[in-house]
Amino acid sequence: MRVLLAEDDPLLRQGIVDTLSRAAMTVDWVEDGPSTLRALRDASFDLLVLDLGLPLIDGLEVLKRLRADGNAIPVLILTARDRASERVRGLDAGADDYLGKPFDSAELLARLRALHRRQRGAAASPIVVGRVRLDPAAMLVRLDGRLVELPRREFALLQLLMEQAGRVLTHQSIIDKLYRWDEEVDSNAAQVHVHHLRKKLYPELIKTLRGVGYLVPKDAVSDAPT
Amino acid sequence: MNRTGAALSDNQNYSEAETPTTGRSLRKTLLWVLVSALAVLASCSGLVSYLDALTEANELFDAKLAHSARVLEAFAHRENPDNRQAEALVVEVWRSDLSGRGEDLVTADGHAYETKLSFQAWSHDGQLLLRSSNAHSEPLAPLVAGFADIQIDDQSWRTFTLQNRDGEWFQTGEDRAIREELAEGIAQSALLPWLLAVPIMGLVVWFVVGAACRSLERITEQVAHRDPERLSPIRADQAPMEIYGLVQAINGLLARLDDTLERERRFTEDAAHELRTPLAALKVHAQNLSTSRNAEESERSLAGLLSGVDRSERLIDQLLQLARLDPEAAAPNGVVSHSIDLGECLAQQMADLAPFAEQRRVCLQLHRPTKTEHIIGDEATLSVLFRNLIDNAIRYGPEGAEVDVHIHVDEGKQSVEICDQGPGIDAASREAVFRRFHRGLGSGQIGSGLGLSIAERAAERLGATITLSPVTEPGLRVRVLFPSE
Repeated sequence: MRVLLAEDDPLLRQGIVDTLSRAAMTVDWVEDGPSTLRALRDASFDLLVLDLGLPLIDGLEVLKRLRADGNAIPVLILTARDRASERVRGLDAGADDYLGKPFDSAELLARLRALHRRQRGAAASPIVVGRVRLDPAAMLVRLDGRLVELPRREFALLQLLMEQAGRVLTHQSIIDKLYRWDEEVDSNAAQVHVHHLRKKLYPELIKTLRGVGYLVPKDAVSDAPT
Repeated sequence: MNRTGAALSDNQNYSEAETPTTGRSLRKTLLWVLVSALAVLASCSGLVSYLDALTEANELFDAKLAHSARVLEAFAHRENPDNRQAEALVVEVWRSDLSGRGEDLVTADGHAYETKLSFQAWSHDGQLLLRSSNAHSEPLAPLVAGFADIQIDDQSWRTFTLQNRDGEWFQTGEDRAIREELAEGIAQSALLPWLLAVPIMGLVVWFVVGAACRSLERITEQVAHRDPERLSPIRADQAPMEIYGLVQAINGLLARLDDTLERERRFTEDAAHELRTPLAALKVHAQNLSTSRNAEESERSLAGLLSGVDRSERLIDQLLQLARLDPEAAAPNGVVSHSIDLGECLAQQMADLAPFAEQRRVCLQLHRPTKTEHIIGDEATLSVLFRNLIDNAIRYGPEGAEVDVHIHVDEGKQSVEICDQGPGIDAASREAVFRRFHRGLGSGQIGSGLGLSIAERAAERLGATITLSPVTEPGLRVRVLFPSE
């Protein structure tokens, strides 16, 4: 899940980036209104966390312009001004959720997951495909009920593929969702992660379409050892 | 007044001890003063009229008495002493029991007061020749020529005695009561209007003061019902001019109070919001720390947490500085102004900030003129001014840069310049930077957005002005110009 964080306070921004990264989210940040609009035009994000007190163009105006442009990205507003009237204004301007400062990290993560789930139209939080069960909230993956330890990046890739089960994800779209702007990416990064996932889970879970990308079939049932 | 006191204690619950002792009622005081003044005036007027009338009556009646004696002498004088009768002639005086005043005492036969007049004639050898019926057989007064005041039957009489060339004595007398009665009558007439004026004036004062007090009561009620949330001005329709001034003064005070309260409210609200962001940062880093999975993550979160604490500390410190500089929050004993050595004050602040400069590898330099420069002001305020400006210069300049502080004297005017090598302030933000909680963009530094507003407030207090260097120059040059003495 790739998140854009628009927050002008460096210390708070760093804290939120840490929180989200540790929850296997890919976070990019901007610190003013115009860069927020530019970032959203240039890259594909799943979620926007928006501070209302942004310099140059304030958050509410950013949100209005975004919606006017037809961008339907889920937006969570983060602000110090959380009076009821302010919340109403934010939500009416097109926000999907609202969180007042100071907030609880766990709540922020839960709200972001909920927004993401709603965006995909999924009802249940744990995703089950084949013999694999992935719980985004607890960041746990089970194979046949047995816990499998996965590094964050591999977890994020697995979540991405399982959320889009039955659809092919290209190399580029995978890289886009897994890496921040400022990260160095190996050309075969996706390949390496897929390799590890197949080894830790089971090979048939992820299919390769040579030269195109990867896919987790909806009915990715393998010949499980019985 | 009592009603006013009751209204106040109902609304404000003043304790007994706090209730101020009220002065005397205006109405009662006025009434007393007026009645007393009228009484004194009436007494004076009565007394003066009485004395005046008495003097006039004395003159007239004395002349009349002398005149009567002469008339008596003209008729009663006997040329031949042998021709005298053995018995004294008694002239009957008309007597009546009429009483009352003026015409009541008059009849066709005579006047009731005739008994109050008497006369006698004596021969040179002391034999009574003639007397009025109401006179005794002894001389009315000692047989000495001229006027005399005597007592006859416990009554005060005025007499006149006349001796003719043959040695005969003629005496006329008159009851003094006539004169006093006349004078009293005149005095009473003079007193009457005054006596009537007392109750009339009393009533007038009572109602006029009552009307004035009613408008005062209406105003008191309005003041009592004002609450700090809604300090609308007091209406003073039909209030007397004297009270109108008071109402205007109260309205002025209310307006200033409303202003101050509004500013406090806004500031508190702003401050509360400004505290939320550092608080949010603290919370995020603290929670990250508790969920970190390795030493590197812990260290990162801990560092964030610590710098959040530092920043909150600074923000609170600056909020306090700002509150202390508030124009309304004058020091309890007033601001103590004395002569301060500019160079020393700057050096002290720079010494205090040296560790921070060290941390940012910023080189601090103070350029002092050969002569020491003094300004008159409050040292604490001056320190706050310099500390914030120098702190800003260190904070927003690049790491490893220089911050130069100069003291200048131009045409007797002293100024201090603080120059950094930071990004400067663009034209658009020149005014905004002095606003509370304004933070520049992309400085990479976490400021409270209060430094310059504190400096401006401090400068204002010292009568100094702050100007920022032209946009064309690199870095920022902040100039503090002190007023000439």
